[in-house]
Amino acid sequence: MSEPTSPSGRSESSGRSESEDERARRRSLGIGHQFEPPRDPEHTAKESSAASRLFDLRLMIGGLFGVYGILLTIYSFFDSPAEIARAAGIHLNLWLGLSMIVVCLIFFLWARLSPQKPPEPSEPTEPPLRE
Amino acid sequence: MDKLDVNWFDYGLLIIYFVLVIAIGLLARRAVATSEDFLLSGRSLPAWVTGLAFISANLGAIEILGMAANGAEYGISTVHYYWIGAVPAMVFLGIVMMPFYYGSRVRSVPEYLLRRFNQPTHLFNGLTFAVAALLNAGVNLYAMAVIIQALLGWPVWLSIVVAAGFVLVYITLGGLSGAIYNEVLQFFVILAGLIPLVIVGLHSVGGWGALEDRVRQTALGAPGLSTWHGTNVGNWTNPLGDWIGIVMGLGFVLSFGYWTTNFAEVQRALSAKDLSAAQRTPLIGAFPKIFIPALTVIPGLLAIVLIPHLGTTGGAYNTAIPQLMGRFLPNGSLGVALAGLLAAFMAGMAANVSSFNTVFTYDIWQGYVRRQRDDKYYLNVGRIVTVLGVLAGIGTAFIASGFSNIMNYIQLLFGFFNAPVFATFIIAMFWKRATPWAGISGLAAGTAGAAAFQFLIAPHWGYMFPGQTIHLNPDGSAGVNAQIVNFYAAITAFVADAVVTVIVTLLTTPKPVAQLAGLVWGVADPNAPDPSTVKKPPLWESPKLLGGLAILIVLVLSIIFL
Repeated sequence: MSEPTSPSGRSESSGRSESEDERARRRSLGIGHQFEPPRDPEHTAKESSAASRLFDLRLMIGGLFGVYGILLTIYSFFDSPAEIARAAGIHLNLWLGLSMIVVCLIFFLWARLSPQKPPEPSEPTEPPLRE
Repeated sequence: MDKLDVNWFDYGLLIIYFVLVIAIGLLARRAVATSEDFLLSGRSLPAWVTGLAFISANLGAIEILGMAANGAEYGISTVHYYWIGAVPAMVFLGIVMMPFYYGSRVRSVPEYLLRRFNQPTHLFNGLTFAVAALLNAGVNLYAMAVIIQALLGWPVWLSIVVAAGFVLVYITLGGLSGAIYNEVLQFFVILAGLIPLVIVGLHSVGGWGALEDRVRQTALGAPGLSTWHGTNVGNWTNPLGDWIGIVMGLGFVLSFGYWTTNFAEVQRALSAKDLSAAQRTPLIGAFPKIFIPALTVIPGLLAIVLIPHLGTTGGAYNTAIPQLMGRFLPNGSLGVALAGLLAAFMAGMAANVSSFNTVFTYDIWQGYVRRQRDDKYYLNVGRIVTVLGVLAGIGTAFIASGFSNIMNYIQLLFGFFNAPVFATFIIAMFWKRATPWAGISGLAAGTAGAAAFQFLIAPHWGYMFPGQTIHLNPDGSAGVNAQIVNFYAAITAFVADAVVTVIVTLLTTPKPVAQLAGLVWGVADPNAPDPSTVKKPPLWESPKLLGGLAILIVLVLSIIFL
């Protein structure tokens, strides 16, 4: 079992017309015609998956934590001693703020070190490997 | 309980969070061109995203607040819901069942039943799932609105409409990717909100050992610190009943039924980019799942120690975490914790609606109503169904607000539909001979079995009652222990389903084996590539290694907290 070679553009359910072999295979599998891919030849070229354009979530998470971290750290400078005492003596805003900045950096570093792979070009789909 | 003392800074943090949620929806929209993009993320997501989304979809606020409430009421036994009640099932899903789900290219769990069995089975499962998903969405919304009213003073209807509005925007724009990305974000924000709470709480009582001592002095007592105490068969005293119920009912039937066949979860794995990622999805999710009790059960214990009369005059058990938040967190950290709670609420609803729209669009609409249309049509249907689903969720939430007892009743009924499903699936995947009519018969029999046990047997069986003697509650209802009844009803459902499936199979004809390719153990998938041409994965991506490690950790922890 490994990374199969099937592409990220899963266009088999779009309007590509099927060969006779494909149709025969589906009939023999008893899938039934309501689950044949919709036939719409005019849209063949347009309707391949756009899923490859999905952005890198790590940048968003890192960004949120960075913003939260900086804001919290600054705000923590204005914490009164009473508030710190309420949190069992821990200066929570400061620690949480700094930790969030660290988490932000970890996400950005991760995104930099192992960038989201661009999609492989569309090929006729093979079903992924079954172990 | 008192309202939280929330200030402008906290609200500012909340606003930033909500803006990001919408932004994620908008950006995800750019990656939607086909119906499969919208409903299944184009099967393109990496394992770490789907793995975290897998548990995050279940980590709604009902789960968080409810588990903390259980921690306060029942003590450490609550971890059974995680260690027994989730991890083994997740490992089983990843290692054993995922090759059938992902390899067969079904687009939903009901569709697997269609290909494996027949249309009645498909429709039974599809419809019950769809309705249950909407119910859950509504219940999530309502529960959230009640909490927000207690914490922030907003009227219930306002919270329902605002929260539903945000969810509507980001899942109608971004589809499943919008939902999943926000679930992953929500996971980290929940950690950021709850970890400080646990650290401060433990510090304030003097550490874990001191907490244990103080728990012993509460009404919960020493049994609250043991997970298996009092679970002897014959005379159980544990709040969750005896070990047969816990292991076979919760750990096996209910847990496996939920984690391996509930489409809200399986969908997250089906959206992964390949089989390896799909298999690793529940396995990667298992590790955080093992440790999340630290963020829910520990606050529950802290609450029972620190809040006098919790459960009666000190506030309902459900208010454990909100009260601790108000007690310890300064403005700032409080805003982060609130963002986590609200995020959890919204994500719970989003997971239900995003799985509902897939089942409705592909299984019900494309399956039975409007068949041979082009993909663009189904993409639009998916969007419309999403909007209608959210509206139905709002409606259900308002019904729940007026008739909460009816809602509990309806959820109980839907629990009967879920109980036998795993029996049917496991037989379906491992017994070629199982016939299509056995599929629907088994499901129906199992559902009836669970209902029969709940209503006809349990109220008259002394073993189901605390102290093993039949007695009534003050309101006239049977004074049974609801947990043990639930677990035993599940066992009944499983057995009934299995027995009927086997009997009907022996009386009817199976499908030709060629039609079962990729769906059943032992029937080779002719489309699978030749194994000798396939690369071996790196060691840390091996499902067996990950699964084995998760089980090992659970075993060790179970012994430590015996």
